[in-house]
Amino acid sequence: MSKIFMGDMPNLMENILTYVKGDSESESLYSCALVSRHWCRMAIPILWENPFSFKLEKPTFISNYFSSLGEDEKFVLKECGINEEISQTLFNYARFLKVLDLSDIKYNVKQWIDVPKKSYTRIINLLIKIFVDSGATLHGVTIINLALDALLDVIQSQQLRRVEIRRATKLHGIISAL
Amino acid sequence: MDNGTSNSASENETITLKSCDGIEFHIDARIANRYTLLNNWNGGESACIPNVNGKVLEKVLEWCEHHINDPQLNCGDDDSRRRNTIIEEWDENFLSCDQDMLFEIILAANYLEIKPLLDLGCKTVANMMKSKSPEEIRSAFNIDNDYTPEEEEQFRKENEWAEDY
Repeated sequence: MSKIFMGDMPNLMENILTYVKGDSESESLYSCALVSRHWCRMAIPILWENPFSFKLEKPTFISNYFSSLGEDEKFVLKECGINEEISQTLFNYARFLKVLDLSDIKYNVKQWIDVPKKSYTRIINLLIKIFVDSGATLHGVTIINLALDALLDVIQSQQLRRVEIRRATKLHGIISAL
Repeated sequence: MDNGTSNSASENETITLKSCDGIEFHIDARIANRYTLLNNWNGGESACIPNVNGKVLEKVLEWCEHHINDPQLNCGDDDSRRRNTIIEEWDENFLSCDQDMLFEIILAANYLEIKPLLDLGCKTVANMMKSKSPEEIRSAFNIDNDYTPEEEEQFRKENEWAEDY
């Protein structure tokens, strides 16, 4: 076995796995993560960089994000009509997020669960809070129809390479935060 | 964009490099001009490139020579570079060597900071993993599965969404 795969050269293995992912290929990365524990540690951060971009029919990965919530916050989920059991996960997946695209998140949450319309905003806000609290280092943010104050927290907590704001009407607060 | 013609060395100029096992190579000086680290070992009587043996250095220099007139990479755009998984026919044939040599070339390209060759090597290995099962990947690269059955089950539970893609 090459030393590249033994943990001696993590930058090379990361480079290889990034090519495995290519434009947006999750299945091969999933297989790589199942090869061994070391491969798992290398592949998972890449797989979870922006899972919202995969546009899955059933994005069940979202429930993994909620495992870090305290009991009070889990109660918010119940209020939103989400009753599934939230158990401890192998990784704190939220901290691997690199791209926060609100329209993708919104699309995925709607695909994931069928709840009353006002609950979607609460779930999205909760997700954003989880990403901020996790210490995720974002490379990019895309905001559409800006209406969420929580975004200020995201912007203030990150050293972003790119912030993209489309069709935004409430820019004042964001610009002063930058 | 630099098209490779602005290298200060002329076509007839050569430099001498020595591998860690003492094999000498006389190469076009324009190659060393493109890849700064190669220049570091130019011409010294006793200087040799550590960590890279003659067999591997020969392959690396063969690649450099073939690509001597390629445009220089724009280093800033890592993401778009990584999305491009197309490999040219000559490069594909060049890397159709045994697996040990392929990994040696990657390590040498990394050591010598020859980024396009490093990317090509990584891309080639990545293509060997695509659309394979975990078991096929383990067998291709001789890797042991050290998951406990419980860990594997938990992992699958949390990540099976990626399989459905």
